[in-house]
Amino acid sequence: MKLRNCGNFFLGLPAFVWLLIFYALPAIVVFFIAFKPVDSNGGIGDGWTLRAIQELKDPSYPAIMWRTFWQGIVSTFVCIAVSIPICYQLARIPSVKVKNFFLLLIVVPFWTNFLIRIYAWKVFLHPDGALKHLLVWMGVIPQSTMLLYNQWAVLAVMIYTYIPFAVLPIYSVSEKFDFSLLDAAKDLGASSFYAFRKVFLPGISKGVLTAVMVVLIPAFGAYLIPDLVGGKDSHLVGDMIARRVFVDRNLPHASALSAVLMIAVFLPLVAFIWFRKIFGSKSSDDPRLQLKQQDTKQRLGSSLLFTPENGISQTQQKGEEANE
Amino acid sequence: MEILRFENITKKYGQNTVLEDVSFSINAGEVFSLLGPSGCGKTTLLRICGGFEPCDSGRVILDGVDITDQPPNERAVRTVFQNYALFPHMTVWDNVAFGLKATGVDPKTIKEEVPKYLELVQLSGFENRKPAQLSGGQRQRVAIARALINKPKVLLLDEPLAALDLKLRQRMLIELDTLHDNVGITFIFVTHDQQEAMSISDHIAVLKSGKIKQIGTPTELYEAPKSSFVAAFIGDTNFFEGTVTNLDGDYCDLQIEDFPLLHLYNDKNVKEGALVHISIRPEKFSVYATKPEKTNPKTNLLFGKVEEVIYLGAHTRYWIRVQDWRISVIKQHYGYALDERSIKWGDPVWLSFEADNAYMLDQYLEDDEELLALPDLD
Repeated sequence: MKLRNCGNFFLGLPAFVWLLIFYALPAIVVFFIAFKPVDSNGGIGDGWTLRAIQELKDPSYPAIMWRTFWQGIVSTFVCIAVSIPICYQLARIPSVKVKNFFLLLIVVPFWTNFLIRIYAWKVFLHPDGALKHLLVWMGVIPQSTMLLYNQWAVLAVMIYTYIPFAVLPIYSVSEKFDFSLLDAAKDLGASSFYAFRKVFLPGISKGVLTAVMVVLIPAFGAYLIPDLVGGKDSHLVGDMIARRVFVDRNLPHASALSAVLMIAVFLPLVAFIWFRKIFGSKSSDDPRLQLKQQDTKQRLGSSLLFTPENGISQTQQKGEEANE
Repeated sequence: MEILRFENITKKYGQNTVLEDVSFSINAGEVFSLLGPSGCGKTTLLRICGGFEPCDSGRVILDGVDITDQPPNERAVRTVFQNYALFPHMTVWDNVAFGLKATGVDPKTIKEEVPKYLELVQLSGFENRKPAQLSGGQRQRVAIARALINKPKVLLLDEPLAALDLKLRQRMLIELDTLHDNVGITFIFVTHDQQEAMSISDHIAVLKSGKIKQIGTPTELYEAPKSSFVAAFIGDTNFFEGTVTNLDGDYCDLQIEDFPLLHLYNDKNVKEGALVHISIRPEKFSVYATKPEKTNPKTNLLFGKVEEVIYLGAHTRYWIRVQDWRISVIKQHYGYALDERSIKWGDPVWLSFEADNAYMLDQYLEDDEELLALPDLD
């Protein structure tokens, strides 16, 4: 390894060790607890058993898994669908003061306590609250409908909570986007919508991908939100796990559920990294790291055998070819 | 035959008037340049033509059709932006094909047209590269191919050579000229570089502070500038101020303070006693080490001292002091320079110029002399 890489290695070492001890290790421990029996006092017994894994076959779980999955996907989709137009307009505001003002409006609630915000929603969606009265008066819903304690409340609060997470990465790429490209697109005959679709969206794709990761993964693990504003039939995996730990004191069972969640989250992450490597890295403006799309097959192969030396020397070679 | 006409275009940004009542027309198939210093409004005019800015008043008429209110995607005008504005996430092929895809042309036609235009700009074989992998000159050529593929009526180029280094600039200038001959579309350049404009334009419009100072062929602008601004902005010149005396048919005499009486061609029919300003280009003077024989009564003779000599091989530039005036002169070396007695710093010299070669200006502003302040060394 070159000297420069060694320097980077040592710089990253403390953070890496911290993550190893306080993130990786506990995750691995949790994984192993899934294979342990329950203790009558609510702790962990001795020996090993597959009981917790077998208990995962609980008939109510598939519905919960599915709900967690689709709510995660829908929240992510809505957050991003809402964030993109917001960031598009925001980035185009010429005055920096006005821009920052609106950005602050989006981010400031983010700084207040998470729990308090959820309680605020409980008040807002309350059966005796202003919104309910307004909707009944307008004739939109009958008196008997509950706005709270169901999966729609959970979905709404999840979307509300995760929008700032989506806005920030999308805004940062929108800011850097060269809007004269849209002028160029229109000059060439594209309608505003076509330009938006074919030039703006691909231009911010990296931000959108980050936003997806940053919303989807926490959404899969949401627990306070379904716990507080959800009802009997709107449990998600997150609050199931919490229930098993705090109420049932069945740690192995909770761990088994956690393990399932970890794997479910881990897979898209791996797919994301693999995907990025095939279609160019984040620094794809650097011609030396650019790979021709025709070489996808070769790259597929090299990515599977990825080692730092291999990867770098091959990309350098390709880069030199591309430059000639 | 007229292809584009601007009628009374006015544009203000707040209190600032960027374009004031600009009107002129451009002929089909020609190379036209909008020339002027930064802030003169040329880029704004280009953007109004392309549809990116609305004008406050006035009309833009393309091939008989009023396009003033049309959005850019409906106009048969294409723009090559100063920074090229290539789509970074698309390959060269996709960039060039964009205009066709966006207007719904069928894929088969696209497959045929794109290679043709890539070949036109000499970029065949670059289809799969991304803009980040191209050099500045290559990117410009992609931008041009991309703009031409829709077969617009007019191609607008915003300072196309500004981002290129000198050698590349010279090459691209010739390439653009050749391209124009091959394609036959009207080209409109926006530039602040008068040499660029002069070398390839059929007509040039010189702008200053939002107004058109003069429109003409490069030769007209160089030899017959109407204002001191045009005279000083394009090339180098010498300004003199004097009073007209002795009208004599097509000619008259000019009395400049401290100078002997000069003979001038009076094409502007100026009255006796009028104060005029004249511009004489440096190459119109002849320099002599010894007093020449005055053969022609219409030749003017001045005596002065050499203050500055810059030898440039094919020619030499002199700055010669005559009374209170410092005259810039270019002497072409027609013979073997080593055989000639060279004129050195401090030498007394005689300058002569023909009465026909001094040009009377319609407008003179002392500020314009500042444009001459830096010697033009090439």
